[in-house]
Amino acid sequence: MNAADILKALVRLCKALVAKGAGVSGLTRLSGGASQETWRFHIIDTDQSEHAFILRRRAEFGPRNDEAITLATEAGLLQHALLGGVCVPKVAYICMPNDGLGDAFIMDFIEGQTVARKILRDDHYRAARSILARHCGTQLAKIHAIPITHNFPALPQSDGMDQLARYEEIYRSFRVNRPIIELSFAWLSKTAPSPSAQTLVHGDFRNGNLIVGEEGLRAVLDWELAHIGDPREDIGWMCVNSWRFGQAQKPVGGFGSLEDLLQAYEAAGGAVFRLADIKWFQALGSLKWAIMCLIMFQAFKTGVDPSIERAMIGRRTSEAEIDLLNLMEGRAFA
Amino acid sequence: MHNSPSVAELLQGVTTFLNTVASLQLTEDQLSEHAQFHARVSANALALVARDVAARPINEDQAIALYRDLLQSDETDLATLERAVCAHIRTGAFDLETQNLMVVLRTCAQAQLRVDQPNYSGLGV
Repeated sequence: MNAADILKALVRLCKALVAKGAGVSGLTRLSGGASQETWRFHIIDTDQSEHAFILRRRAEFGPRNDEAITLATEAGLLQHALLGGVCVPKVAYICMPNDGLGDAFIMDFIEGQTVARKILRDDHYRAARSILARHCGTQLAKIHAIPITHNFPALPQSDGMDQLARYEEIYRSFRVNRPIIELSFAWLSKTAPSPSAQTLVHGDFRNGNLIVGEEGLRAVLDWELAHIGDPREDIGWMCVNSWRFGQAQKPVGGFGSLEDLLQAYEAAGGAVFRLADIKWFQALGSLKWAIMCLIMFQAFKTGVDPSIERAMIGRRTSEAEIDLLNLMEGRAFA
Repeated sequence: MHNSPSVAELLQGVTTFLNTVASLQLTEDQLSEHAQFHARVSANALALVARDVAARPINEDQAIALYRDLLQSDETDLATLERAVCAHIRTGAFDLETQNLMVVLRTCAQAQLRVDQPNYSGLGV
């Protein structure tokens, strides 16, 4: 579907749901992942008032991540998150098959910044940077407290050891020999923390998926890797050095300290975790990132996605390898 | 030294991009954000290719010498040596306590990263 087809479907929807005389304007594709399309548009009501929305839809020809939930499930999850006090965009509409938009939903547009380099460097976000780690802690505590009741969307279940096994299987299938990756699998399986109580896990809580304003965190996006699992996974993933964009001395996203995040997490009712266990999940995160880089390179190699960007991500495996060495040796700022 | 993607594959990716998108002779205003992003990635790929070509012979010789020492082997093929190191780690013959293992792995990883991403923060930790 091209932009014209999407616009046509949105206009039809808008006339049916808002008002016969309502219109759609400013449809723009925002940069998004390979498996998802994100579009911004405005609905102009009959009184000429404008309201900004986001359309999220599954890319028709993109690679399907087998861990990813459907967008309809993601929309359901956002509704539960909103009820749980998590800052997320309000879902406006979940698309039906005859809407002609595929697996898709529409949510409120939230103004703000997602580009990490800007959040970490621009003066505009100076105050936000000092409080963001705490905001992340509070939001994560709320996410992990969302009750998984009988009407909760069906989600995959996977804890740290499940993920270690799954990523090892993927790594073996590539038949490459990378000693640091090999050592990381051995070390992580030997040092795994005892399991914690299972909760909802966001699964991709990091820079790039957080909307930030000058006052701090505004919204948590991209729930497609949500699952039931170990809450420490989200905290460890947030600390992976690859999302610090050069600010290695600030473990939480390059803007804050883990102590701040954990304090806010506990203050918001979250569990008390051991630092060593969070580090284990951070190392698992770096290992997963190393394998993800290889997966994206495979997409290039096999012709699924021949773009130079997919090829170049293959050369980011080594950043995860140095991080893994730093973590295994317990170096400062690792 | 690892080779995924290889210099040949990177050049192929950049060439595909240049042949399809950039050769449309659009002005910068007309080039979509998407194409501009891939143009920047292409420039980065060419810079990486230059670093790889310059460093690969030295890095591979260094890795071969280090792995041979570690394995007490007279093998001369890097891929075979890497496979052997991985096999030793997988069976538990090598672990974090193995003499020199961490130093060797770090030396090779640093050499790789200086080609792949010389400004990455993890290099200085």
